[in-house]
Amino acid sequence: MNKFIEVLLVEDSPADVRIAEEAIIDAGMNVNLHVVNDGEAAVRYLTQQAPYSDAATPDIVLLDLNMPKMNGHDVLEEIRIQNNMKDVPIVLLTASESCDDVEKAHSLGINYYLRKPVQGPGLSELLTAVQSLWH
Amino acid sequence: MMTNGVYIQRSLEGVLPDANLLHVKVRTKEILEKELQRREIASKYYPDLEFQTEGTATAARTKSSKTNSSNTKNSNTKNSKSTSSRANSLAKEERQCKQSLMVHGADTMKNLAGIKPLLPYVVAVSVTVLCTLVGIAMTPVVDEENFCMLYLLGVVLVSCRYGLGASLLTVLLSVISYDFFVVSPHYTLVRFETPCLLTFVAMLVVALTMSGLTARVKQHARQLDTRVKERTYELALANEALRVEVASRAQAEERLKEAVEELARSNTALAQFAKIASHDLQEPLRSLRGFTDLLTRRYEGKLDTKADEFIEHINDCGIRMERIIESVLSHARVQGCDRPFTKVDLNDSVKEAMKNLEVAIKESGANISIDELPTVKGDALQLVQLFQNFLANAIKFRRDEPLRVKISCAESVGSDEMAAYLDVDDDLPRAFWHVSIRDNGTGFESRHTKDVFTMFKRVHSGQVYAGTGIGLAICKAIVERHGGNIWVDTMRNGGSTFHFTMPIVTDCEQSTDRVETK
Repeated sequence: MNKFIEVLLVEDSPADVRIAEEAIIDAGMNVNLHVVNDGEAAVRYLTQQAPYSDAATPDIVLLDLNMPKMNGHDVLEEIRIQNNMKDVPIVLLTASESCDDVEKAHSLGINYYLRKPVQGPGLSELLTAVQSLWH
Repeated sequence: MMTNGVYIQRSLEGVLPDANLLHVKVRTKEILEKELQRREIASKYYPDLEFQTEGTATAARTKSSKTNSSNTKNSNTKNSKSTSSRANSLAKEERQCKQSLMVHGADTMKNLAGIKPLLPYVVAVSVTVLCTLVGIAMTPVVDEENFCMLYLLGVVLVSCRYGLGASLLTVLLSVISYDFFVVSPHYTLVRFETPCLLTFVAMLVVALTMSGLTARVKQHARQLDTRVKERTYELALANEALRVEVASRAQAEERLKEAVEELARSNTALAQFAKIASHDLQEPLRSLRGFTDLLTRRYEGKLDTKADEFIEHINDCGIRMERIIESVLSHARVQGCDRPFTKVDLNDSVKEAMKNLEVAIKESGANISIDELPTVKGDALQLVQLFQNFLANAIKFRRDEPLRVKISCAESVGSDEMAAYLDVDDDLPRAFWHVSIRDNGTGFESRHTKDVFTMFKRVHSGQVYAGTGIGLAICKAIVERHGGNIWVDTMRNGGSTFHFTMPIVTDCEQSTDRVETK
């Protein structure tokens, strides 16, 4: 049996979190979904600061672009300078396909981007890919 | 103090006996205005200084002529009593001096003016006396008959300079003096006979002729002078008007420039707003669509039929709203785009657009014919979008018969017809590629020719044709970003022709050749 995939979802909208949860159920895969609601919390989680000091290192990060306090770009900048975070795959979530946003995120080191909300075949393909890579 | 205005007016009356009074008035008004300006400036720097108005000038003059006789010390003490400031008293003193000078000047002029009318006669007498003295002195060496020439010379001189009256006086005095002093026996008038009478008549004729000629010459000179002065005024007035005109034009131009800048700013702000608003609208909408997707997938057929219908409506609305927001965003992206222009072969753009619309073209069975198109400088992606929108529009508004689209291009030097149609400025570059996209679709009423390019303006009912009504607005934005114009003709028998222009870029010679050899 496959090991659980650790997924960190950084998303401020409860509705979008809910849709992602349902999509993961629909995908029928073993996923441990961790959710944080803003950029600051994401950075704390990823750098294992309180209250996330014993949080599991995620296999994949789903990062919303548009968030209060720190947006997706800020989080990327912050965590890509951390040594242990250099290789974690990060998927950017955007509502629009604005080239500027995506280009900027690419320059900051995202691995992939998905249009929100997170659901459907896109997500299950992604999760399958992560599973085959890491397990 | 006599104001400049009055002074000038008087001097004008002197030099312009028949001058147009209007000119004088205008000139006087101008001078008065200048004087007022001067005073304004002066009062700014010397707030203590007082100015007299024109009305009080006479009163001041009489007052100053009275005080003129009293000594300066007296007036000084008087002034220092009334004013505490030393500067003020100095200014007053200076002014009084000026006043008295003016008064003296005016008096002298008045005296001279009194003498002036008598001057010719004085000269007449003087000339005769001079001739007589010369005659007496030269009697021993010259024959007395020759002296009439001397007197004639005097008459000629006087009549040349001083007119009829003085010359007649000279003639009379000359004849008498000639007979009395020069012709022997001296100091008698006994020989006033035929020769003398002849001299008299000759002198009279010369005097009359000469003074008549002089008068005419003088009159001409005066007229000429008057005309020159009049013209000078006219020129000055015209110059002033021109200056005002130039200034007002410069001002208008400045205002226009500001307005254009303001418009550009607000346009950019609007595009920015549209982008941000649509971006933010998109997020909740995407979530909404996510949930309706979930509902459809999991509960379709499990609730009653009404619930299914409602879910379908929510889905449709969501899709439509999503499309609108996408359109607004893409419109905003065209406007806010600053991707640099490159050389773009429009043939490639059309090919790419047709590839993107492959399915729709196949479904509609459209027959699209394309002439050889030029290479322009532009944004490759946007030019694909431009043709794609035109073609999609043609496909959408096709009739039952097979759709035919023809894309053609010609070099245009900016025909007057086109300029009139577009209501454009003449300053625009006149060398364009003129591209036309003609279809045999439904067309539209000619009153909508400008509306079709307006955002969200749909000239057909939404029941029949789906769409956001933004495709052609995007075309307009793209063409305008490329420095061209866009317009549309609609045919009476159906079908429409969309036209757009793109500036011909000189370093795209290859394409120019191609079109010429075609």
